[in-house]
This record gives sequence, C-alpha cells and structure tokens, in this order.
Amino acid sequence: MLEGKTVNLRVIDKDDMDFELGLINNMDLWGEYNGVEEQISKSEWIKRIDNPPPIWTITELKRFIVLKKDGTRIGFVSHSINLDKQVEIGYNIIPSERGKGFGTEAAQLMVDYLFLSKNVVRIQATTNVKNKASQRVLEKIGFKIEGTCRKSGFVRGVWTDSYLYSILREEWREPKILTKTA
Amino acid sequence: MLEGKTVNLRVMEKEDFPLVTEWCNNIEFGGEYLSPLQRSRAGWEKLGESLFETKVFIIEKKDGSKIGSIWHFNMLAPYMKMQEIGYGLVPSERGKGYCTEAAQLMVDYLFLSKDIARIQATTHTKNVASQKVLEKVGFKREGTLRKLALIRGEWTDMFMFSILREEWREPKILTKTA
Repeated sequence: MLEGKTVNLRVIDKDDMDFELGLINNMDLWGEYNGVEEQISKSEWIKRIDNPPPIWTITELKRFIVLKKDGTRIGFVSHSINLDKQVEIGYNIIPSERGKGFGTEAAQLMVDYLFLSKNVVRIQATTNVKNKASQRVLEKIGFKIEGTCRKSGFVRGVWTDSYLYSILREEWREPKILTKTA
Repeated sequence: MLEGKTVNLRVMEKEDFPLVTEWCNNIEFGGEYLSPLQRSRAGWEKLGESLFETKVFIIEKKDGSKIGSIWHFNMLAPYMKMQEIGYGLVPSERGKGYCTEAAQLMVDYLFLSKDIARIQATTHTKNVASQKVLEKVGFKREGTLRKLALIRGEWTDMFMFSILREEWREPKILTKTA
C-alpha cells in the first residue's frame, strides 16, 4: 500500500466491487468530465478483474483505490502505458470528498511511486479543458501544460477538447511524500 | 442503474436469470408478435459473450418490482456503428407508459455513452403498441422489411424504425451533466 498523510492507495481488488459498481453504474456520481461508462453487471465486473480485457493488459493498466486513513473508499488513481510508451495517470474522487486535497495527495503518491519504481522519464495526464479542479491538482504537483488535444475525449455524447500535461523526472527531482529509502 | 421518473433500468444479474427464463419460456409473455423462444439459464450467461454483445437490462418500477426487460445489441459489420434495441413488458403492466420511459432512458444512455449516429428498432407491422412507444421517443419509420421474421409459423413483414443523434439532440431523462 502507498501511504500518504491523509490518504492511502491500494491496488483494486474483488472487495471493491460494490464501491466501483456503485460509481460506474451511476452517471451522476461519475462526474461530468468522465465519459459515460457502459453499465455492467456484478459478474462482468468480477470477470474483468480475473480476466482483464486485452487492452488493459497491453497498456499495463494498474488501478488503485484511494482510501482515507479510516479506510473509507473515496476514489481511484490509475497508471498505464500507451502504445507510444508514454506513461499516463488518471484519478477521480467521489463528489462528497472533493475540494479537500485528497486528489492532490493521491496524484502525488502515484507520481512518486512511478518515478521511484520504474525507469520512467516522463508522466503525462489529460484533463477536459473545463475541468479546472483537475487542472489545479496537476499544477500543484508540478505538471506543466503542453497543449490542447482537440476533440480527443468523448464525454456525454460530445467530442471535447482536453489539455495535455506532463512532468519530467528532472522536474520531479525527488519524492514529495514517499520516502526514497524504506 | 439508469433512473427515470417511473422506472429504473438495471443491468441483468445472475439473480435475474430465473425470472427472465420464466418470461421468455412462457409463450404468452411474448404475445402474438414474438416467436416462442425457449432458453435455459445457462443460455443467459452466454448472451454477453455472443458476437452481437447483447446487453440486457431489467425494467423495475420504483418499488423494485421487475416488470420487463430492454436490451441493446449490434449484429452488423464493425464499420456499421449503430445499436438496435428491443423490449418487452409483462402483460399486466402494459399501457401505463413504463415501456416508453424505458425506451427513452435506453436511447439517452446509448447516445451519451457511445459514439454512434443511429439507433434502430424493428417491430411487427401489426404491433401498434410497440410502434407507438418508438414514435413517442422520436423514432421515424423508415420502411418495411418484407418477410423478415418467422413468427408463429408465418413469414411476416417488420417495420424498421430509427432515430439519429441530431434528431435526439439531447437527453430527455438522463442528465447531461452531473
């Protein structure tokens, strides 16, 4: 488990089914800047954990639950590698726990973890151009905006623009939360 | 779950198999416009893995009672990106507007979640109730598919209906933003 001051990150597992299904199948909770996910059943969800779809395996998608210190599940963070070998992160905090700094700390933990554990020179992230809260998270942890990816996200029936952000290893320099030594 | 004013749509789970099996194995449930289809519980498990990727939802009233099902699928070539829908209600709950709301929820959901331009549905030419559902949701009748279906021993014509994204324009029930 990756431990921060106010949140921990733990790899998603079967116990997280009710939490995740409760979000995926509820359009209003998932947020206005995420695409609308396909509704799925419990057995499909479990199958995806046991037998990930090929695209998850090819992109080495790894998903984590964000937990408060008391163990409450409040969101997700993930990392993946696209076909051009670019490492990308994503995150989502449930509406009732936003605006409290949990997303920022979760994203910082993920960035520390990736630079510490993998031979990565760059980490990128995209956000909807209207998603100011998400942009603030990235800026607070040192990401720089590189440009606009036009009509790159299909969100609630409309192709919308996204901003592309990135942070380089030499800009990160050293972990902000995780320690370099055990 | 997709929530409407009078009904909710919930993805079919294993616990629903006995009930949907009972529905589809009951010749009277389908009425005069469907052929009798007999399917086992195991048959339902396999449905999602079929080439058509059929996704079945249970239609529930707000009190949780299950009154029917609605499904979407695409059985055409990959470059023909569209979704087709089908639906059925237990006879005792028909004529109350539940199916119209279920179809509207399904159309909203499909256009919001998939990059498709078209949703289609076929109905028996004599199934006026089903045609009214589609018309109320904004579908247009495109034409007649002659002798498309073998229903209760007879080759029958079906009407093809469709709705385009630009005709739907925006969701009628589901919200666009959180």
